Amino acid sequence: MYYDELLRLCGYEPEEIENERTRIEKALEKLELTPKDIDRGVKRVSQYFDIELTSIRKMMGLWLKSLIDLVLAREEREKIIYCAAPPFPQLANAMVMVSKEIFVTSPEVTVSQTLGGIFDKLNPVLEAAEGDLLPAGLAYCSGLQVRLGGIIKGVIPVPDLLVSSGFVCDETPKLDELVSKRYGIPVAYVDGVNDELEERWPRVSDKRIEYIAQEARDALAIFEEVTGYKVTEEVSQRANERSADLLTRGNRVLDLIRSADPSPISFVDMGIAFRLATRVANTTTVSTDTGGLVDLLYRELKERVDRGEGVLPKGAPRIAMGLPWTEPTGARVIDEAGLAVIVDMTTITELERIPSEYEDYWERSAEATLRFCGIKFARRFKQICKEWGVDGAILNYPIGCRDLCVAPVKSRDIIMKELGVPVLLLECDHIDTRDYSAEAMRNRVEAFAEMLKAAKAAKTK
Amino acid sequence: MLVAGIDVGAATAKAVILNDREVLSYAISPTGFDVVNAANEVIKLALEKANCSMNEIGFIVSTGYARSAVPFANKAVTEIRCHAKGAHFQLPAVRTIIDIGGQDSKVIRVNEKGNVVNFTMNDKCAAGTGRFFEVMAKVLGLDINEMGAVALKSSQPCQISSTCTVFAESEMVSLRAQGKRREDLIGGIHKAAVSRIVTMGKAVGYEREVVLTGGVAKNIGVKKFLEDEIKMEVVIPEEPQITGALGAALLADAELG
Repeated sequence: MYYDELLRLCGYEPEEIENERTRIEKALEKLELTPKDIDRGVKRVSQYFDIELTSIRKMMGLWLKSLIDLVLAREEREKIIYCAAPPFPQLANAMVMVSKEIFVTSPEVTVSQTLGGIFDKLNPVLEAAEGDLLPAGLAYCSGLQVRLGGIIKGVIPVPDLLVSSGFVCDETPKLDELVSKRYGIPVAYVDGVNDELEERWPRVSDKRIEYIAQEARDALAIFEEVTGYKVTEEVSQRANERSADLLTRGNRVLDLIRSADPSPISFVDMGIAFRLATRVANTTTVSTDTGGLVDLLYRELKERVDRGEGVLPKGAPRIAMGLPWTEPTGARVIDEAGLAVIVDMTTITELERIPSEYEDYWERSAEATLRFCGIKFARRFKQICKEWGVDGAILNYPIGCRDLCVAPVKSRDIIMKELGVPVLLLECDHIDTRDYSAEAMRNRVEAFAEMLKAAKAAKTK
Repeated sequence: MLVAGIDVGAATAKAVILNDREVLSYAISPTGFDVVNAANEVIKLALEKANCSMNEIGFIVSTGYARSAVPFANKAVTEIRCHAKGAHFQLPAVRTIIDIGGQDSKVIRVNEKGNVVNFTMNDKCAAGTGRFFEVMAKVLGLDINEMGAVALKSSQPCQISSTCTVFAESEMVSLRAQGKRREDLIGGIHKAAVSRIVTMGKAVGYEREVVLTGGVAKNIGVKKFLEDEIKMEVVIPEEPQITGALGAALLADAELG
């Protein structure tokens, strides 16, 4: 069939395609993906992703499977839960582990990775949201536009429960409240203040931890009410063990990337395939051996490193990036400029690995989450740059993101002043290509790369 | 050995020919729609002035937005690095370069060798660029070359609240309707644009000597308003529009060792 080539490119086995054909075709129809769109997908995957690596192909396939499962969830699962992407990952992780009958996901991540990243067909979804509650030109979050637009267009199902968080960004709970009223869906709010003494990081105020932990417990009570499933202590522990295991395996890959020169992986692959596949859980990724894929990636990269091969010239400046991008055309500009991305903001710093003093699971989780987000962005990013000894850093600030439109500017000033590491700010949205063009970005990124290369060459002399 | 640098920017194309690091000739011409044609035209003009042929040029470095489209260039380099090299050649004591081109503005910090140590540039907005001045000149029915001199006569520059090129146009119309003096309107335009550039440049800081390059450097009003804003003298090279092309030519010279 016309889509077989794309699926094979994305690591599907032939029998898998045969077994899944009915579901695949049903999903493609709902998604309004035509043969022309599939052809574009084939071209984009071949052009932007490292298809020499089986692990990367299979990770792309994992995203496609996540999309198909999401699109068909209403007819195949008992209940559907949408969680905010992710201010509180432990909560979604635990819900995901309860039962395969409950489909838990952050739909905006899956849809932007696939409809956007693979098919370059995100605009109709964004425009659907813009014609509704999130009008164009008013700096709304593109992730939320994807969520709302997907529901309006019928690309993704209306969920049975929304799990919403407002302690990083106020946009999500506001939108979820509107969606809740329109579709009659309950919302479980995991809310709280974002204020924190910056100097306290990586410690967090006890009051905030206790408050957020209680909000998480309350959210789980609503989850139980809606789904009939209880998130037990045992389930939470299993979820925790799974993410800790993935983190360990992921860190092995990061350590390899850190020590390798030339760099064995591009930013496109590192961000879209690897980092997001391991850090954002949904029912599909949890049902798959994601850890095995990460191990495969490690082995494939290790072989490259052992052969002395890489995707960039030896000695390329090593940089830290903000968040992984779901859109490959912009991400590719960074690779093409000869910059080796070795770390991003989803990395846990040494300072954050201090043991928790809390015994309660949700208090420990709330503490871990609160160390990550909000105003500590600058401190965290500085620590990452310091630990990883980068030559430079690039941060994008999407104007529609309540958190990221401010934090990167502050981060740049702190990092440049306190570490002397150059930071490039890019005003662009890592999901919405209408917000920027790769060509407009190229000039800045290339100039930044030239500067870093010259500085590195001078140091070597 | 002769070398050349060519800077094909958004508004104009510039070419410089060097002989042993001495400027033999230079040329400036509009870019227009066809960037390849613009590159061919400007190098042709520079070669004619230097009384030499393309065959005599040992190495050519291109820069500017269309740098990758210059068919006869041996190497493409970003204009940030070229401006740094060019400005350092024109004034070795330079540590800060403010470059205001047709559609972008940059503040570049360089070290004693003329290497870039940091830079910042406008991202998506054309306010604070040559285009901003062009649009405002058109709204006020002025020749763009007259604007700087008129701005210097302003005693009370108008407050232009918006430096968005599109919205500032309507703001101009409104201020004119209020009977504001022409020189104060133009002074306000200069103040607004300069303030935007200076604020942007604070991310990398200002250190003496400060050089102003790019086509807008020919506007004497901009120099004055910049000096008032950063409280430092601003030096303008003899031909500020060719700084990028000059830097490209110097890098070409370095390629030949």
